[in-house]
Amino acid sequence: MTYDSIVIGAGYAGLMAAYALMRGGHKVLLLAKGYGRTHLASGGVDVLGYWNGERVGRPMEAVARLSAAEAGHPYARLPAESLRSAATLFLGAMAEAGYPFAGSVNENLLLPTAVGAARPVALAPQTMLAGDLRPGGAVVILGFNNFKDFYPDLIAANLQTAVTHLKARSVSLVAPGFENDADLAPLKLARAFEQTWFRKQLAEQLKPKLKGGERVGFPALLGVDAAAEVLADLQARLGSAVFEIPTLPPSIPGIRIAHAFEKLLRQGGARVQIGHPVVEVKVTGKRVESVAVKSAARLLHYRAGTFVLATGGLAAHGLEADSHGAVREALFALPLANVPAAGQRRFEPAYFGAHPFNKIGVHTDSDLRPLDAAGRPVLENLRVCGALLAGAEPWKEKSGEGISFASAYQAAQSIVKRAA
Amino acid sequence: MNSITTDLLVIGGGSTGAGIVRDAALRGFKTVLAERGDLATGTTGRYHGLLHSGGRYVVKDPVSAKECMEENIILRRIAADCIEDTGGLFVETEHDDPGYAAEFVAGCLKAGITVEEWTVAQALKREPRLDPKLRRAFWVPDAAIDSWKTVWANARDAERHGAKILTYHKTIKLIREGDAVKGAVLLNTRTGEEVTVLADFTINASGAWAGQIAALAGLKVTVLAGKGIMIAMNHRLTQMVVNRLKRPADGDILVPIRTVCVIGTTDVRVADPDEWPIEEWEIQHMLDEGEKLVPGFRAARALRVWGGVRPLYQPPTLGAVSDTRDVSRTYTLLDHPQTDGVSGFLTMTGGKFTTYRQMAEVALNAVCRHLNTERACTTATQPMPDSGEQKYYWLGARLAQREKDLHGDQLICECEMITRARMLAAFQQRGTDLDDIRRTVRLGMGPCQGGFCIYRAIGLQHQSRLSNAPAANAALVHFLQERWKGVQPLLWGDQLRQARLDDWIFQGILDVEHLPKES
Repeated sequence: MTYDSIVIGAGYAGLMAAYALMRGGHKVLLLAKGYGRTHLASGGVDVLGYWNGERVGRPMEAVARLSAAEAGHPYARLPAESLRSAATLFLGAMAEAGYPFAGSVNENLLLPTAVGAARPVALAPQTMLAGDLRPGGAVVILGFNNFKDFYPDLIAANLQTAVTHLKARSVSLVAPGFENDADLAPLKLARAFEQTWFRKQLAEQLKPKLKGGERVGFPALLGVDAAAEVLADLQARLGSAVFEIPTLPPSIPGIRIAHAFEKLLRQGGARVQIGHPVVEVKVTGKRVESVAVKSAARLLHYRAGTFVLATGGLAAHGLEADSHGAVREALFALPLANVPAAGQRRFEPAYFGAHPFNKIGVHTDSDLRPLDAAGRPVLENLRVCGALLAGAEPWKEKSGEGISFASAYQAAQSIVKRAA
Repeated sequence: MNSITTDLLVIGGGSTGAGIVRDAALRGFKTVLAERGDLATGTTGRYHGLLHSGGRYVVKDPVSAKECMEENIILRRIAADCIEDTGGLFVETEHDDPGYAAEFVAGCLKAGITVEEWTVAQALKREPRLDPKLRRAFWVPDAAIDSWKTVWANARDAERHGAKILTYHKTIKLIREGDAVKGAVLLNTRTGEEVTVLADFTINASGAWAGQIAALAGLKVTVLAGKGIMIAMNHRLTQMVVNRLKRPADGDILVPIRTVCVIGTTDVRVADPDEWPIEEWEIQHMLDEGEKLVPGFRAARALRVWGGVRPLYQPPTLGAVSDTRDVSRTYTLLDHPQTDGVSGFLTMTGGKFTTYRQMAEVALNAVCRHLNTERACTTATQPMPDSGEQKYYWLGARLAQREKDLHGDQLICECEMITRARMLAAFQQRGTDLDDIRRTVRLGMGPCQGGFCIYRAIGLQHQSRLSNAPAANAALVHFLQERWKGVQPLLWGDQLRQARLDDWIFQGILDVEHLPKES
C-alpha cells in the first residue's frame, strides 16, 4: 500500500497536517494509536496567551517578540505567515464541517474557565463566543447538581473579581430527565442536549430564573455532533445569548474538532486509521521507506514518499522517559534538544516554575525536518510537528494549538512544494 | 489566656500519643492530648503500613520481634477494620545469603512467631510477579494496617471517654516548678492563642521530637532521627507483604496497602527531624532493590515518594552510633522521676507503630505507680469503636459500598472511590484543609494524583459555603504545590504522562495560575 504522505498521530498537529496535505492534492494516510489532545483540551485555539509573565492581548505581535527573544522556541523556527495561514485554513475547515469558529490571531478573546479564571484564547467555536469577558456586562453561570465537573458558584465568584465591569451570578438545576442519576457523565449529558425534549424542559426551568440582557454560561456539553443547532435552539428558547465553558476531560468541544477533521479527511479521500499504532519504521540512509502498524496477527507495512511525525511529546507516547532519566523519541530515536545533562536539575521545586525537562523535544529546520546536534537534517523525507517540537511549555504559554497548527501547516507546505 | 486543668497531658499525636490517650481515658484519667499538627502527621502517617509479625527483627533485634508478635495478635483483635490480613512472605532471592534461613526460622520459633515454609511453586502461584529465581519462601502473619485510621480510632474512642484532643497545638513551654513538671503552655498554631494546661502528669510521646520536648523541661534525652523513604507504586504488584530473607536493609520490603503497594525504606541519620531531603540515590536504590523482588519493577508506575523519621532512642551508655540500622527498634520508657529526679514527667519513645499499644500500656502503668493508683489496662481486649465485628478491611470494601448505590451519589474521587456524601461528611468533621481531608478519605492519593478530584473537592467546598472563592483558590494552588513535592522526583513513564495531563488540566484548561489573587 503506497501513499504520497503518511501522517502518524491524530492530535491537533496530525489532523491539521493530514488535512493540509490532502488539500495540497496528496494521497494521505493518517495512522494513529488513538485520538490525541483534542479530547483533553479546552476546544479553543491558543496561539499565545502568556509571555514574559504577562497576559497577551495581541498574539501575532507577541509571537514576533517571542521569536526574536527565544531562538529555541518552535515559533522562532516557523515563518510568521504559517500561523496566519494555518488559522485561516482551520477556520475554513470548521465552517465547512458545520462547526464554525471565530476570532483572529491578531487579538485574543478572554474566555472564562471552569474555575473562573479569565483566559486568553485566539480562536473559539461559535458556542463559546458570547463568553468573551472583555466587554463586561452580565453573565449567569449554569450548573447541574448531577454533574460534578462544573461549579457555577465558584466560577461566578472568581469572574466577578477577575473582570471589571462584569456582573456574574450562578444558577444550579438538576438536569431534567435525569433526576435519578446523581453522577452524569459528560458524554451522556452532551447527548441529552442533542434531544429536543431535554432542551425544552431545561429552558422551561431556566428561563424564569434569567434576567434580561444576561448571557448564560453552560458547561461545554451542548451536543457532540450538532452543537451549532443546539446553540441556536437554546438561544431561541431562552431569549438570551448562550456560551460554553470548557470542563475537565473528556472535552466535548475537542471531540467535535477531531470529528470535524475526520469527516473532512474522509470526504476528501484521505484514509484515517485511528487505533492503528505504528510500531516499526524502516529507514534506508536518510530516507524513511515504510512504517508498520500492529494489526490482526501480523504487521501491516505502509510505504509513502514523505512522512509526518505528530506523535506528541511526553504527554503522549511521542517521547518516552525512563526511570534513569533518559528520554527517547519513540519511533525514529531522533536527536533530542534541551535534555538536561546528568546531575542537572530536571524540574524546579515550584510547581508553577519553568521546568527544564518540559522543553525537551526535536529541533527542526524551517521545513520541519528533524536536525541533529550539528544542525543537519537526519531524515530527508520526514517532518516533525506539534508537541514533539523542542522549546515550548504550551500549557503554560497557552500556545498548544498554535504551535501544532502552524508547524503542521508548514510541514505540509514544504512537502507539497517539493513534490511540485 | 485559656487554661485547662487535667490529670494527664500527652504531648504528641502520633501512634504513641494516640495509644496513650486512649489507654488513659479508658483507665478513667482526665486527659488532654496536644499535637503540633494534625494527628498522625509525623512519623506515624509517613510509614509504609506494615503490621509487623516481628519476622523482620528475629535475628537482629529479638526483643522487638517478640513485642511485634504479641501486639500483632492484639491489634487484629481490637482494630480489625484498620487491618488487611495480607499475610507476609520472606523470600530468599539469588542475591541473599542462604545461611540466613536457618537463623530466621530459629528466631521466629524463639519469638513465638508462626512461620511456615512454602515451596517456591506455592509462593509463585500466590505471587506470580516475584522473581521466579527465588530459592525459598516462608509465610509469617505480617499484615497491612492503615496508620491514620488506627490513630483516629484511638483518638475518637479516647474522646468518647472524656479525653480532649488538641490538634494544631504546639507545646512551647513545659511548666516546671522546682523538681516537678506541672503541665505545659501550648500555642494554637491556627489562631495564635496560647493555652495553659495544668496536669498532674505529663507524658512526652513525641517520638523523634522527644529530645526537643524533654529539653523544654531542661532534660537531656537523645533520640536519633533515622530517615527512611518510601515509594508508592500504582498497582499492588504483590497482594502479600514481601520481605527479603536477610538482615534488615534498604529497599527490602514491599507492603500492599489499600490500592497501592509501598516499597521501603532507607535509613539515614538526619540531624533535624523536620528538615531533610529525599535524595536521588535513595530513589534509584529503592528501584534497584524492587527489581530484585519483582522483575520489571522499574517499568511499573511509581506514584509518589515520601519520607519519615524513625525515633531511635540512644541510651547514654551507648557510644557514638555509626549506622542507625544498628539501634534497637524496641521502645524505651524514660522514667524522669527516677532517673533525673524530676517528677510528673515521663518520656516514651522509640518503638514501632506495631507496638504502640504496648508502649501506651507500659507508660500508663508507670503513671499509675507514680500517682499511687491502681487502674487496670483494658486496651488489649476492648475493641476500637468500629472494630466490634472484628472484620478485616479488604481491598474491595469501598467498591462494595459504592455498588449498593451506583446512581444515588456522585463519585468525587474515582481512584479512591470517595462519594460526595463522604466528602461533605469529611468537611464537616475535619474542616476544609485539603491535606487533613486527604488523610481522612485518601483524597488525591490514587493514580490521577488529584487531577480530577481536587477541582471537584474545591468546588464542593465553595458550593457548600465552607470556603469563599479566595480561600478555595489558595487551597487549590497550595494542593498543586504540595503534590508536586511528592511526584516531582518520580516523573518518568506513565506517571510523567499523568503529570503532564494534570498540567494540561490545571494550567491548560483551568488556568489556575491566573486565578484572581487575594488583594
